[in-house]
Amino acid sequence: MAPEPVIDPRIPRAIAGDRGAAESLVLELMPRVRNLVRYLVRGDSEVDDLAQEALIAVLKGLSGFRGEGSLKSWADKVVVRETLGRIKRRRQERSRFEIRTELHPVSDARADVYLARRAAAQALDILPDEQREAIVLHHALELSIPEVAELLGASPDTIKSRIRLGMQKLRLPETV
Amino acid sequence: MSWLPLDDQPGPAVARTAAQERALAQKIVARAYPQKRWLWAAAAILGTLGLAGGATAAWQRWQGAPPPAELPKPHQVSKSKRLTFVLEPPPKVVETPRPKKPKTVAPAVAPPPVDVRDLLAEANQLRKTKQWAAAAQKYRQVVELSDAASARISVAELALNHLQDPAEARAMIAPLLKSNGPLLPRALLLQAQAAAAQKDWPTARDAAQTLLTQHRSTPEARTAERLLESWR
Repeated sequence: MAPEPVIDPRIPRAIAGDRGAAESLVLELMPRVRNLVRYLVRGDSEVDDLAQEALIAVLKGLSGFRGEGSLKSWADKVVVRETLGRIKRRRQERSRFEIRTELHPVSDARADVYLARRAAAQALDILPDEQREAIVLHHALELSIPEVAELLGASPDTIKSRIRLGMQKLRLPETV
Repeated sequence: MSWLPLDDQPGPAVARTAAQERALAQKIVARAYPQKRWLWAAAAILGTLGLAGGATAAWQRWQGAPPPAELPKPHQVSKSKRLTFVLEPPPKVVETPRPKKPKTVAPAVAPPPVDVRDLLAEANQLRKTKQWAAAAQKYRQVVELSDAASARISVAELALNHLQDPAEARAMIAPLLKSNGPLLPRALLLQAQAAAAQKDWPTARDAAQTLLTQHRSTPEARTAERLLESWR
């Protein structure tokens, strides 16, 4: 018999309206959610707004979490759905290439890692949205092709093609 | 490691300080759990209306006046009826004895008051018998009722040392870090330990360093010194 899933005690408390538990969950999830949102969108200007909306969606959807898998993996999918939905709605009004590099103090040991991650996200900024989204879901979230296809509402073959084309562009940025 | 690493470490999103993250988290929770102000407003209006109605009825009883008759609606009254009504002699006034003043009635059901001291005693007992989660829950109730700093510290200690929840520990002590109360050194030490548990080394070092420089004579400062040594 499969063991009963262990649910973080903060989750039922947050569902019941305990703001302290909700805040504690948000604080724990926030760095990862902000990073995921940054991978998904161009530039930094919208990251905090989108992360905020995504975390609200996570809190409101907590009752749908069944404890199968980690809370973070479940939250990742909620964040992807919420963020992609909002990106689609905002696409018309969004500036396409806004890359601002605001460096905030981080310890020296982590500075290189931080810069490398920001460079990776900025490299993605050259890709069309569809290729970018497929690559982030497959390579950052490590979802399978069928899972990416389901989340993006496209066929697995289309997703494979988007990933292949996107990867080619990333390897040959001078041709873009 | 993936070429697009995704975890809790800084990057690719612009790094934020712990204080900025806390502020954002509070904003998110406030939006996700809006205060039901309209409920309070509705209750206040109903209460006012109820009081006004009660006062009017009491006044009428006091005056011995009969309750106001419901006036016929214009479209229901025929001309002949209206004429009869005008020609009728005025009704006799019957003297009625003045009733006694109505007594003030206490609210029907009031919840029994929760004594914070009882809750604290229960929480302490639960902690003594190592029922960590139940003890933490009682201390949380104390925090909700009285926002006692000592209860915040207790929840934070239980969360950090027994419930593997450094994030809750940090959330619990966050308000204490802004105060200059007697429990500030304890809160700073817990902040350092909780941040270290989350591998948030800049915050952990910052809290330990603040303890060393600003509260050097406290026992917490000595622990902070040992922690800083071990983190090198």
